[in-house]
Amino acid sequence: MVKEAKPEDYNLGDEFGPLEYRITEGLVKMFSDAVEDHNPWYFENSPFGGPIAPVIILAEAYFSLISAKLGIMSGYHTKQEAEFINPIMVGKKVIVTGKIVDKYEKRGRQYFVLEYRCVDEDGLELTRYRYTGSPYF
Amino acid sequence: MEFEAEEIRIGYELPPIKRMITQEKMNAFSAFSEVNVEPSLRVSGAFHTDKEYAKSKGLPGTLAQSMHYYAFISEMLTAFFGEGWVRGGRLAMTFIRMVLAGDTITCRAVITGVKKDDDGNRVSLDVSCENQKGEKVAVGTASGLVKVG
Repeated sequence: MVKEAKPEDYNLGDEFGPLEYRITEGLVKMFSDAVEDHNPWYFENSPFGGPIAPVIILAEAYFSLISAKLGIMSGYHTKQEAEFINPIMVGKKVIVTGKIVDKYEKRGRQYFVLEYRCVDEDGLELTRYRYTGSPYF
Repeated sequence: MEFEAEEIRIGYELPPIKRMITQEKMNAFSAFSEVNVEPSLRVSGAFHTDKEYAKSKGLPGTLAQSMHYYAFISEMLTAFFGEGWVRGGRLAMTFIRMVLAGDTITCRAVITGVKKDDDGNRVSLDVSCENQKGEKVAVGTASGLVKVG
């Protein structure tokens, strides 16, 4: 039976990851095709010295971070914040880690806030994210 | 990227993006989002890919993932700011209504302010996504960096 993340599994201070992603041409194409964004910077060249990935390519990593530790994540995504710091170069390995920094109840519904960040294999910070959601539908 | 001064003014609206989120594209996005998930856990995409499963959970149909249309906004802002989005972009959105398979989403961004900060000229915008009924499904703010020519 597949393990599912339960609302009581989300604890303040819990840490997630690291998860590693190799930013391959294939991964970028998979994302770009899904969202229909074919900016030439992703496939040819960019002002950053080579092709880059869409800045939000790893925004969805919250799902992998949580599912890997707690079981399948489901629920209602209410807010997403992002800060783009450096380009995600195609070919690099990216490491994603996260932490639950807030947990609260509003109008009878529980919410949690997961902060997660992406750093490349050289230690360069790429992106910071903040996910807010409820583990209930 | 250098800008013409008339593009950087309060009230300037960026060219909108209008796109239908088909089940096929939702399936592709779900496959991408689970690429780093252990295979045995790759069933939660059912909310997004299996209509009967979604209905069994009380939903009216399969739901598009919020990051799917968040990506449309980022695409608009990458096209507008260029390097000033890749290095220095900020985006915050609240998701207020479900997006279902087949919905057509229009994304908009309007400049609300320009100020100098430590990184240069930071341009702020209100951003939104609305469905084919004109209902807002997501709203928020964004900012990026520009050099004015």
